[in-house]
Amino acid sequence: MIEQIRNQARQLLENGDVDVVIGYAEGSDPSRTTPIFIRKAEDVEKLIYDPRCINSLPLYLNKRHEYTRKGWKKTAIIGKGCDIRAIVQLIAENQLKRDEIYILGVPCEGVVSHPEKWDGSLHDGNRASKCIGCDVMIPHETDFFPGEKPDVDRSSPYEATSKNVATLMELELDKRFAFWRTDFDRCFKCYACREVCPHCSCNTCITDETMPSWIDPAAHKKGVFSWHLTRAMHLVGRCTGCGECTRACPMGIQVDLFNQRMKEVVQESYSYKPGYSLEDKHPLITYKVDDREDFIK
Amino acid sequence: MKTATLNKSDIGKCIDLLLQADLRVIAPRLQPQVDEDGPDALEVLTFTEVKSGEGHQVGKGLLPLNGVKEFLFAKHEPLFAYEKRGKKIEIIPVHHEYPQTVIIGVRPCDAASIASLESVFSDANAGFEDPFFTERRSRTTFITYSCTAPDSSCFCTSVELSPDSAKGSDLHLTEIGDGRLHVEVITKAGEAVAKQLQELLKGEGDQATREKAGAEVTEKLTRIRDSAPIMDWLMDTANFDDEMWQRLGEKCIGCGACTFVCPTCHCFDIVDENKGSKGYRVKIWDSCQFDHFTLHASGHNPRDWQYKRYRNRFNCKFKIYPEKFETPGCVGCGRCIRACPVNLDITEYMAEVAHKATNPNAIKAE
Amino acid sequence: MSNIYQPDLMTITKVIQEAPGIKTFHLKFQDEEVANNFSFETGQFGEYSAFGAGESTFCIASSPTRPEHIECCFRETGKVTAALANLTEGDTIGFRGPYGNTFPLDDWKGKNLIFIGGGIALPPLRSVIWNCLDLREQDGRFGHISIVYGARSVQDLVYKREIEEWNQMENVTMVKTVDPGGETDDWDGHVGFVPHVLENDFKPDPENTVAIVCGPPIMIKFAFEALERLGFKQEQMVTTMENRMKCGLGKCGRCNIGSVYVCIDGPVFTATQLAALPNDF
Ligand SMILES: Cc1cc2nc3c(=O)[nH]c(=O)nc-3n(C[C@H](O)[C@H](O)[C@H](O)COP(=O)(O)OP(=O)(O)OC[C@H]3O[C@@H](n4cnc5c(N)ncnc54)[C@H](O)[C@@H]3O)c2cc1C
Ligand code: SF4
Ligand code: SF4
Ligand code: SF4
Ligand code: SF4
Ligand code: SF4
Ligand code: SF4
Ligand code: FES
Repeated sequence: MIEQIRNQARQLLENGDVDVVIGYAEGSDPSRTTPIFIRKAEDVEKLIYDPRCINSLPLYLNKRHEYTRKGWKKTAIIGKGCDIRAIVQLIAENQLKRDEIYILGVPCEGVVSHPEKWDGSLHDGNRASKCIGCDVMIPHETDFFPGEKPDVDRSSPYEATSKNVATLMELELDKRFAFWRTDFDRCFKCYACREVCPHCSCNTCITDETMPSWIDPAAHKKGVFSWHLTRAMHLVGRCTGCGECTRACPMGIQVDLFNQRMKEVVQESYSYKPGYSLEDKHPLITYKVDDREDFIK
Repeated sequence: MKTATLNKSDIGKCIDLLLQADLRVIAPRLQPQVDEDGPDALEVLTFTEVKSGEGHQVGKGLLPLNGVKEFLFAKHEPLFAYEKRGKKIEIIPVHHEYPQTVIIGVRPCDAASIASLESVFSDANAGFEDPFFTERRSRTTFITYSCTAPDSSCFCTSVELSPDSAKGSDLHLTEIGDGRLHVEVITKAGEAVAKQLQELLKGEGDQATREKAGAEVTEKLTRIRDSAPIMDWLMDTANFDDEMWQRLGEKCIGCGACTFVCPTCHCFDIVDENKGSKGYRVKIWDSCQFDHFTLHASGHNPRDWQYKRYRNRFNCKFKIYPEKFETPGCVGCGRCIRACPVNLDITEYMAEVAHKATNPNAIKAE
Repeated sequence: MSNIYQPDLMTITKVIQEAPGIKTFHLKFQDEEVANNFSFETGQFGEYSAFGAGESTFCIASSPTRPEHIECCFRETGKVTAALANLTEGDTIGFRGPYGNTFPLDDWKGKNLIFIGGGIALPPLRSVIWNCLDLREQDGRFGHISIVYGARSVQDLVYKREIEEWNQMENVTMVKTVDPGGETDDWDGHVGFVPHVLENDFKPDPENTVAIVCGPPIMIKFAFEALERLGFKQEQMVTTMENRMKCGLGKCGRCNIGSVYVCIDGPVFTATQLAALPNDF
């Protein structure tokens, strides 16, 4: 499979069809892989794809990460299904144009939840929860796919919600709050959760705004709670569930539990799953006659 | 130097004795998880204040995620309060009562980092003493614990330390087999703590076994880099514009993870937290990896690309710290490697620089 | 425990609107003891606070030879400067300082001095200009003094009164300029960017002369290049750097250029010193 991807990448670069191929390469130790930017055809041999390829690469298509300053006219990117959902969502939000991106889709069998959990194979003990019940293992939107692309029914609701969400929702409110208090106590506001998120694409994030200062920049209780709740709200109906925010948090805070819960809410309320359609507009900025109204009392 | 032995199983009792002596005790602890066995959950080990000797993880996990930094250099430090009264302002000092503290189970790399922070915050730096740091420091005693199982990210031996180093320690523990620990009393503060633990400390230590145990663990380190040529290479300002900075650094996404987990990173911001006519001026952690860290009001930014911010971080660790503060900038704890979401690895820079420094004619290392 | 982060309180005794968005404050310490113990030298800066908004770094714009009050002059660019700009006479601000090194006046004895500044960069120059003028008046320790100053447009010029005062002074050459397009009908100065006017119109003689340049990084760069073409050596050129700062104490870590911390090792540097620093400013 990776040979076909490499060949395609080589051709794209040789023909000058793209300026760069964003993909994965071996990392600095055997359990890790790393994002790589390939500009020369001879370097395509470095490309790999396997269950250690956790990163959501579309974050590099996000203007927060200097994408628009790099002057690339056409970018090829290796995408597993969930990452392609992120690309599709970026396009739907007018952050990208479909024709500036060349999507090299890969068939995916799931990825590990954390590099630390890699023990040579993928199994129920280390498979990221987002991969359980994933409906884009054969990706939906691609420009190249190695081999035949079977039709997949993606109409059913998510099953990918982590068990943790249900466990938390079952807790009494005060216990749930106590859980977040201990977890958030560790947050020191490094903003890795924001920087890895393909959809945190604001030029100036609300937490960096100083006039006025909406969110206390300090990592105390108030500053941390307001940061996470605000961020969760900004990602309602936009989060494509890559789980990177949790994976990246150096303090082991499961940031994406909020986003997963909100994902369920949006799904229940609007039957909307972000990242599946280039045209569908976000439900919170559109109005449909059959939108739910029973919460207006 | 005084030595003794201690039963490993008595560490909980040690903590209880210290607590009975009215000391605040900080030890590694596992944090609760929603779903301990869930695939997304990782063990979360942090230094936390403990109220009893039960459940501690001293000598068990490797490195607590947070390190000891936040107990000396707070994440959020109110510097003073103010109140506006018409055209007048009143400044109200915040009263800090720092409890006498013992941090137990500190690994050698973390212990070595204290001297580095101290070189920035003490009056040895330009005559300005940060009293919030130095007062905490003077009330904190470090009981360190030699590593037994370094992981693939550890590289202390590449920065002149070792898994059994007692640098920065007050009282140092090393496993010598049979469930016993070799205890070394390093400083006066360590001696005071040893006194509290007297009933548990036995006879003399076993220096020979301790040395041997240390050497065996040192052998286990796999990440070995030659840091000797790095500083000289960085001193040559022409190398500041070397092509490697951009090549290795372009994947950096500018989160502050590597800096916030780093035991020697000292950078902060000063902001006002205002409520009506009152408020606090506070010091909060900041990071040179953030794009607005050096942004001038004019819009000019000397570090206008992310790779330049990481270049600063590497220079900070291997040139600025040793040159300006005369202490190590990196203690090889590997936290930044473990924390980086895009696997940007400081030891790859080290290897590349060492290669360039020793092969000046190499056109480009692949 | 003395708290290096705690400012002293000062009263704003006078507010002058210098140009659109630019104000000068005259400041006096509220505590007499602090006032009596305070001294500074030209080139140094302070951390000025608007309580509730935070702190900002400005140089001390007045001369140590005129110790009745201290002055700062700032442009409204963000949170703190906006809050400061809202204050009026009688209001209280916080001040920490003085910090940083100073202009090496001792090295300039017997030499001619040229001060070159652009835009809001006149405040640090103004302090050293008055300092040198006052000292020369006392004991004639400096030679000829020239001032080359420019801004984007006539209305952006700060210290207009003083520019006129300097213009009237004997043994002071005042060269003023505005960027092309920024002139008015009655403008009697030059039209052109500061480094250009310096090199092509003013053409100073490098012999026994020191040039002191303040301005945005890009202006400093071009002014140094122009001076070198005029025959100035690097050790004859001095400047001040305005890196972003927070603490002013060498602790917060944001003002460094290589291993040099601008807040404690600067802000005054010679061109020789700057040339030895990595390209990080
Ligand atoms: C030694 C020295 C001397 C100086 N002397 C003078 C002087 O005499 N007069 C003078 O006018 N200026 C002087 N300056 C510059 C002055 O310090 C700044 O203009 C001033 O601090 C701006 O402060 P502020 O709080 O109003 O702006 P801020 O609100 O802090 O920021 C100004 C701009 O910077 C950006 N920014 C800052 N922080 C952030 C953030 N956290 N997130 C996103 N963007 C951010 C924004 O774009 C903002 O508009 C001097 C600087 C130095 C270092
Ligand atoms: S990544 Fe973790 S520690 Fe960093 S800001 Fe997000 S939640 Fe906080
Ligand atoms: S919020 Fe988290 S899970 Fe959702 S898209 Fe962003 S990084 Fe991925
Ligand atoms: S948290 Fe909100 S404001 Fe900040 S980058 Fe993400 S979406 Fe934008
Ligand atoms: S730079 Fe990395 S390895 Fe070195 S001390 Fe900091 S976190 Fe540890
Ligand atoms: S400059 Fe960067 S690397 Fe150095 S101490 Fe500060 S945050 Fe850490
Ligand atoms: S090196 Fe890694 S951890 Fe550090 S800022 Fe860059 S991406 Fe974040
Ligand atoms: S301003 Fe804080 S270190 Fe220079």
